[in-house]
Amino acid sequence: MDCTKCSICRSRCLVERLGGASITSVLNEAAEKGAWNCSNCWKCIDACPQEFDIYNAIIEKRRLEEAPRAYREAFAGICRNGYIFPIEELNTIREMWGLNKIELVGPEVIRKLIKEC
Amino acid sequence: MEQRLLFPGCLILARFQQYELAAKAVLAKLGIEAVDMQAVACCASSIVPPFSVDWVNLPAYNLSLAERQGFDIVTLCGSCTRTLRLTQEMLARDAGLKETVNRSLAAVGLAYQGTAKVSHLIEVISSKMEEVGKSFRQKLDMRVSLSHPCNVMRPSQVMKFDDPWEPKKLREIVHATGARVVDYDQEYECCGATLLMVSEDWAIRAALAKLKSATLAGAEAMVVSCGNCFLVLKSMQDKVRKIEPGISLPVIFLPQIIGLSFGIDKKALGLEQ
Ligand code: SF4
Ligand code: SF4
Repeated sequence: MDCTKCSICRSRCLVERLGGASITSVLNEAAEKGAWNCSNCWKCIDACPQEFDIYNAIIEKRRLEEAPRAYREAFAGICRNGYIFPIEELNTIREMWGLNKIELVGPEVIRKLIKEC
Repeated sequence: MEQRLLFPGCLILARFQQYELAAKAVLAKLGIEAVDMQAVACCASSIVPPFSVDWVNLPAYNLSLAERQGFDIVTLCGSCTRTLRLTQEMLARDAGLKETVNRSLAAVGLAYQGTAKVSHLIEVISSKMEEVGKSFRQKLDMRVSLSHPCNVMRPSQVMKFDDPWEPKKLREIVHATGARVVDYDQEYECCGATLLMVSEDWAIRAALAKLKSATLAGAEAMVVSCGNCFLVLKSMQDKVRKIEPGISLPVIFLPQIIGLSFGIDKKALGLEQ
């Protein structure tokens, strides 16, 4: 259903409580930007009486706003080897903990799956 | 013995090996062998969707790896759980999307059907409470607070698990260790870890609110069951102390506290290296 700009999502949003503007401000026309300002708590989705598709609203809006550096780096990491976090020494660290070595995915597979990589 | 593929997610894989270690030790006591997932990739989280319209290929790839091995999945992180479940829901609803995804997966020798069940560790353990009771060895004499992983319950239309506003399952499990669970004002608030991606100040202030509220309520430790919660509530505590010097709360992963009540050796739980 359509968003009625009731602000209920905004009243549940952590970013708003911290003084920032999230998608909930954007939906309520209290800010133009803010889709990246989000803690992934999804309280807005559960709170919305209209069952408005906030998830896709966030993604669509993010595609229009410039991504913060940490997100760009995370995406570059996924393209580089399949993971967000540095993982090069993984099997050495696993051995120290007594965990078995595991096979990593590698960039060839990722490039076949995500063409933007 | 029942077998499940362990989907650790890249944060836990890269940084919190103790969580994986303890989860495996506890699951084994409950009759579940947690098998390593070979060639697993990032779940896509909320990182990939804005950058790629094909993002679903990535979680579908991970799911199809599990299907090929014929196992269900156990996850350790909230975000991974939600992303995998959302993908399953999208592909069940949209036959055209499933066809497109399967064309991409064919290029890497895989196919997606939708047969592997995805459950977070909390869901798996709460379905084995009888076994938890049987493995119980020693009552833990401590007061703990809980941090509930948002993405295991929300969005509730996707997750369909527990109460999305005041979840109960984590509490039930921790109760079984004999530890006293203390209520605190900020218990059902998000830890704020993902905000580290946009503003460290917001993330630290969100973490501070939880840590302070739990400390004032008399907690001696905080129990988490997500890598992100641990990241901001424990790994960033030094930065929290720059705002509030008195804060010092140990943070423990769910399977570590259960493992202690099962009498499992601290080293095997990653509590001592
Ligand atoms: S998911 Fe993001 S926008 Fe929605 S309530 Fe949580 S922090 Fe706010
Ligand atoms: S998204 Fe839902 S809760 Fe938020 S303002 Fe619109 S109708 Fe209200």
